[in-house]
Amino acid sequence: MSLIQIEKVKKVFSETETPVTALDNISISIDKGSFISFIGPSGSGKTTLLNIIGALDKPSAGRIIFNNIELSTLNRVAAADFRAEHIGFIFQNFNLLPVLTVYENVEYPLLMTRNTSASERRHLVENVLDAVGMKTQMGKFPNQISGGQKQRVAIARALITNPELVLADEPTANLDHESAFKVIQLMHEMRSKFGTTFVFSTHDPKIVKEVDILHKLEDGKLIGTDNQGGVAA
Amino acid sequence: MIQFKIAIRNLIRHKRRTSLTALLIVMGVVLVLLFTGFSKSFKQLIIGQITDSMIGHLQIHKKGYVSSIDNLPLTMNLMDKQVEKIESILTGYPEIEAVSHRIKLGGMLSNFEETTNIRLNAIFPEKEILTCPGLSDRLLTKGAKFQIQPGEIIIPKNLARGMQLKEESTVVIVANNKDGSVNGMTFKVVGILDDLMGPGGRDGFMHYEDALDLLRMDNREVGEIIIKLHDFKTLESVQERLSTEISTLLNQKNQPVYELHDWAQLSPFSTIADMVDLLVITVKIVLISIVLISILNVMIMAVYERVSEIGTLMAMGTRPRKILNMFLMEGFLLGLVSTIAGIILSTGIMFVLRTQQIQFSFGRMKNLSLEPTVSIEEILMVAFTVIGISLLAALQPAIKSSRLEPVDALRHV
Repeated sequence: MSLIQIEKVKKVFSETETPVTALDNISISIDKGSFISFIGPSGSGKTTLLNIIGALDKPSAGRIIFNNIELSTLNRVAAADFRAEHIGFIFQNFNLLPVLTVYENVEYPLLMTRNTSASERRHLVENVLDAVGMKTQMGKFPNQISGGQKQRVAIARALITNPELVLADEPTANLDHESAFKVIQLMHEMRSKFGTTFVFSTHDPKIVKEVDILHKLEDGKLIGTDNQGGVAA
Repeated sequence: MIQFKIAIRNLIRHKRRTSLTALLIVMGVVLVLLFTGFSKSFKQLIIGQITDSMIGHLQIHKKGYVSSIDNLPLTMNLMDKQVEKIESILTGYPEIEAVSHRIKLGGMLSNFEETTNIRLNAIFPEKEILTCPGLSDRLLTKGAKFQIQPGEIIIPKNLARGMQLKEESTVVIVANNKDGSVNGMTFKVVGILDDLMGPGGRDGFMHYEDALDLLRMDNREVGEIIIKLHDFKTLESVQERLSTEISTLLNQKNQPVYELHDWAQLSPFSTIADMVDLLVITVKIVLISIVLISILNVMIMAVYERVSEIGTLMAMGTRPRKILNMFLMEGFLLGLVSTIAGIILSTGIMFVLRTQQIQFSFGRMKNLSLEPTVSIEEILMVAFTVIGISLLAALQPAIKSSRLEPVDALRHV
C-alpha cells in the first residue's frame, strides 16, 4: 500500500545566476512500512528530495501526495502541523537541542502534537528511550553523551510521536563503524516494532546493504531502482 | 511552557553575555530611579523652602499688581471691602490651612549715617508665621522666633551687613505715601533674615499697624493675600476652582478685580524645576536607548547563532508563532529580571542615602537635606517602560526567526 506518491517532481534553485536543477522529473512510490534509501554522489539531489518529502521545502513542479495530502498546497502552519503529526526526522549532525536534556529532547515533539498528560508523556518517553537503550542517560544534556548515543536519542525523538514516516539524512555519516551498525540495527528494530516507514539518504554501504529498495540518483535524476528484497515490514 | 524553559536556558547558556546586558539595564534602571528620586526630593525641598519662607502656595492680588510689582504700587492695593469679599470666599475652601495679608512698600533705610533703599512687607506676624512657617528658620539668630511688635523691624542680611546693623539697632524708615507725600518713623531692629532665592528673598518685615501709620492709610489696604494649603498636592484643584470663582468678580468696567497666581508663576525656581523635569525625561530616553540597543544586540546574536536550532524546531513541527514567542520571551525575561534587580538595588541605595541625610547648599540655602524617594507609580512606569522596550527590541529578531524557511535554517552552519 502506497504511503507516498512522488509525481514528476522537479526542483530548481534559481537564487544563483545560473539556475541549478536539483531534481529532475522524479516519480517514485513509497510503500508503507518500507525501508528504502536514496544513494548518489554529493549534489545528486538526495537531501533535496528528502526535504520535499518531509514538507520542509516545496517542489518547483510536480507533486507529492502523502496519504491523500498534497504537500505543496500546505501553508507554513499547516506544513508544521503535518510534520509534527506524520514525520520524524533524523539528521546527520543529530540536531539535538543543547539546552534540553535527553528526556526533554525526546519529549519535545509530543508537546508539539498531542494534548497528552505529563504522566502519559513520561511513560511514552521512558518507553522509547528504553527501546533505544538510553533510559539511563535521560537526565544528561547532549554535550554529555557520545555521538552514537546522540543518534540513538535522535531516533527516539523521531519515533516518539509514532509517525508514519521517518526521514533520515545521512544518519550514520558522523558515527564510527560500531555505532553506525548499532544505529541501523536499531532502526530495523523500530521498523519491525512500530511499522514505521524509513527513508534514508546515504553514501554508507552498511545502510545500502540493509534497505529493501535502493533508488539511485545522479544530477537530480533517478537513474535506477534496485529492489533488494530486504526485511519486509 | 517548553518555550519558556528553552528561553531561560538559552539566557543561562551565554552567562557572560546575558550578565553584561542585564548589568547595563540594571545600571540604567538604577540611574533613572536615583535621578528621579533625587530630583523629586530636590524640587520638593526647594519648593518647600520658597513657599514656606516667603511666597506661600497661592497669592491673590488686585488685577495687574504682579506685572507692576517691581514698582511696589500702593495705588494697586486691595481695599477693605475687596479683602473682605476674598476672605468670605476663602472660608469655602477646607484645603486652605492659613491666609495672611501684606502691604508691600519701598522705602529708605537710614542708620543715621548712611541711607539705602529697602523693600518691606508689612504683615500681621501671627498670621504670617502660619502661611510662611519657614521664616523663623531664616532668622540668623539660632532658635529665634519670627515675631514683630509695632515699632520693630526685621531687615535682610545684605542690608544689615552693608549698614553695619545688628539686633537692637535703631533705624529710620522713610516712605512715600499714596498721594506722594513723605513720612518717616524710627524702628528697632529685632531680627536679621538670611537671604532667599527668588522674589521677596531680600525683603524686610515690619508690623502692619506701623505701615498704616507710615503710609498714612485710614482704612485697611492689602497688597497681597498669601494662601498656604494643608496639602501641596491639592494646589492644582484649589487654584482651578478659586481662579474660576474670583474671575467672576468684576468691577464697574466689567473687568476682573482680582488675579490669582501660584508659587511657580511668582518664582524663577519654577524654570529650574522645569529644567530638572526635562533632565529626568532625558535620562529616561537614555535608559530606553540602552535597553533597546542592548536587547536588540543580544537577540540578533541569539537568532543568528541558533538558526540551525530554529530549523530543527521547525522540522519537529513547531509553528512559526511559537518560535516568535520563544524569542520574545527571552527579551521579556532579560528585561524583567534586570528591571527587578535595578528596582531592588536603587530602592536599597535610596534607603541608605536617606539614613545618611545628605546635606547640600543651593544658592544661599545652606544645610539642605536630600531624602530621595520614588513613588510606586514612578517605579511601575519605569518597570513597564523597560519591559515594554525589551519586548519591542526582541520583536524584530523574533519575527525574523519565525519567518525563516525550515530548509534554509537547517542548512545554516
